[in-house]
Amino acid sequence: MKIIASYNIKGGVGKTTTTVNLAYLCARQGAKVLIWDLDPQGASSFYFRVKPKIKGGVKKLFKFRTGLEEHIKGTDFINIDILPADFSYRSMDLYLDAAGKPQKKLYKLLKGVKQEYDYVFLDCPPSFFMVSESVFFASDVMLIPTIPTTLSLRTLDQILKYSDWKTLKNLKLLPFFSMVDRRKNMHRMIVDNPPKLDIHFLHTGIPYSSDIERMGLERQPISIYAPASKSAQCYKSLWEEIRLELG
Amino acid sequence: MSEKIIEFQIPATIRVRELIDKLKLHFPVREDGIHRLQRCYQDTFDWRLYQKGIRYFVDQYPDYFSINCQARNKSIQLVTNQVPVFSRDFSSAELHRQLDSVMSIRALITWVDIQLVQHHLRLVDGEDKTQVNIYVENSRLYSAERHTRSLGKRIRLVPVRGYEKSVAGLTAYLVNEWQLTGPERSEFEQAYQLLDLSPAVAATKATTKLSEDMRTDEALKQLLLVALDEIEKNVEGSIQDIDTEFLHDLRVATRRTRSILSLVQQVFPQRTLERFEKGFAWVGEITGPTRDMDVYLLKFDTYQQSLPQLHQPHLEALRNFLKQHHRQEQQKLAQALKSAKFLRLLQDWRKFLQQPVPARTQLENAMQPVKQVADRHIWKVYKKVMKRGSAITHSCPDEKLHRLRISCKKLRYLLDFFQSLYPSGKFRQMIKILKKLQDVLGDFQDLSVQIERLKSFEAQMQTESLMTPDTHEAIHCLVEQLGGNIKQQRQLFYQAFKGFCSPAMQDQFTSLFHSTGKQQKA
Repeated sequence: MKIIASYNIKGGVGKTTTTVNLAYLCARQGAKVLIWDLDPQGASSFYFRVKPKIKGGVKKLFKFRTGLEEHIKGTDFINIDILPADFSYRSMDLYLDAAGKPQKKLYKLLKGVKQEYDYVFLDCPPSFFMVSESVFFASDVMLIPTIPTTLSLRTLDQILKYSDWKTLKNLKLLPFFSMVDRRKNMHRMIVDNPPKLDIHFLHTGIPYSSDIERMGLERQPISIYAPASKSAQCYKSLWEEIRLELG
Repeated sequence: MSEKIIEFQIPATIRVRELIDKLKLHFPVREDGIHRLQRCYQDTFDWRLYQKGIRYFVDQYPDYFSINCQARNKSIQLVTNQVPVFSRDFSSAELHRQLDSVMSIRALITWVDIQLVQHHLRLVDGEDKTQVNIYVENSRLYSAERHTRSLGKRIRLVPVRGYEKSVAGLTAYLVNEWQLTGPERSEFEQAYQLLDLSPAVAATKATTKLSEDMRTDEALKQLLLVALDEIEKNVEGSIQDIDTEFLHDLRVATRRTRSILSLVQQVFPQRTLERFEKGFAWVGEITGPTRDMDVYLLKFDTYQQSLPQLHQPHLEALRNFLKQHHRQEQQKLAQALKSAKFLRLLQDWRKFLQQPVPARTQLENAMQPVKQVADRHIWKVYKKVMKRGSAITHSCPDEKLHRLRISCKKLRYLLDFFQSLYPSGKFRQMIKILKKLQDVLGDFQDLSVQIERLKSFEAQMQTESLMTPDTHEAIHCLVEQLGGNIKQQRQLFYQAFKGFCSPAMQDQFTSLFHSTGKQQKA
């Protein structure tokens, strides 16, 4: 089982659209996929039309050994299940803090479903606290959607500087450009001359497009309602690139 | 998805449209469209899934495939872009785990082809979220020769995980309002009965029950006919290269035939014997090179993983070389198996085996009771195995182990061939112990052949300019590793042979095959 997180400290950079679209493409290749909507705003749950509610909230999720299974819901897509968001996730940091070895908590919970799923996608909240540390520890790959602006690059730099990703041997950080608007000078300039980092910057970028914005109305992955669109094609290329990185 | 599926049969008197309209009236049901699709029930050639109680089918939608695997207590449904053929093709680890142990290296082939009209409906909540998938299906069995036949109408309720309770209302409605009941027979059962398929029979190995006093020529003909059936059964799959087991089974049946012909003399006329011995030796020759490549390709991943990480990617050039040569050899094999020479050999062999035995013959063993002949030959080969095995020392040449392996093989074929003449309990135990010895000797032989073959592949790759210094180093490393394994394998021989020549085994061999000899001596 591979765990792929979609993470950024900044909000509105395309974390959820990345999760939903890549999870769908992954599932279409015959793999069994679980999405864990860790963001209390519940955008992934919304896209899949699943109520953002966990019975007993994060307290029950962390306290009992029953694990995640009883809270998992099937989506309208056969290979994709979701562990919905819950409003109580906003206090997840507190519960993690109270748990022993908080960094390993999410990983331990996910171990319980590893026989069933081939991929787990973590749709992360925009934060830099204990939840993020636990996500860093659990993940094999961390996708960092990055808008090609100075401020977003600064955020990426902060993630690389302040997180302890270098100590985590199995974690691969994979930033990529998201919401690229080539009409804007700055976007063009940055995409054509990506920052020189210690880590690999994925080649595929996702364009800023009204097709992607329509996801909120369609409430399904873009490959279903606009399969021929440029955005859908870009997500396909992005997923193939990530698959190669996963080995 | 691994939820419990509920299925009802829809009587011919109920119109599908009426049922759907009423469902929509009583429940928040959305109609998602009508699909005309093909459903293929698949299994391995020897029905391994069927034997384990697994039903497996693939639905072909316009832009994807839906895989359905129903075991006794669990049902898995997955969509995919490609139809898996081997267990390694499954992207889902759960499905791979479940099927790999059953299928092993066998391929899935389609046994039953059904065409259906499927109405897909969804029971939804206020957010238009699916809680239960409803499939109303009208299916027809498709066969090229027999046209199509109706398999009736069914409705399947597939609850979505986490919404299982929602199915109760639908079920109660269908039972109470429409008096629907579960199907008497599954769609698959109905289909294979109409097609005259007998999975339960096909899954069991064909055997012949011999009686002790049967004439040897008659008994041998019966046994050789079973081997011929086995050869013929595997010809088409070998030509099409569906999986490697077809060719393997064809070769085993051929070797058995050859073995019996060479071991049991004075049963069939010499000229006939010579002609068919030569014919089946030729079958051995034409099937050998492809089988060799099969073996390497089957073991390739193990070879690669046994190397240090550094060398692993460089062995890929060898894999490509093997694949390319496998394709060439496979083409030659297919041509040979389709040739008039091969077809005539099998036809003439069958004709000879089906001819009644002559009332009188001068051939020494032909009219003797088969049990006597079997006892004598098994005992003779057993003594040879004992003699050759006892002569193996730590320093003896590999050739001696090879010769012992051949004798063990002969003994095994004789035991397998004549097993119906002996009590099964003791016999099974003896074969088990012999098999252990054969495995050790087989692995030893495989390793020494592989080392030699790897060296020749290496030379061939050089000639074809496919060799790089990295690949050369990787192959060299592999050869060294196999050389180390060969030494270990030799050590294992002593243990296996000790088991084979234990006093208990000796007693069993003597009591089963040499009791008459003992009496004669007494």
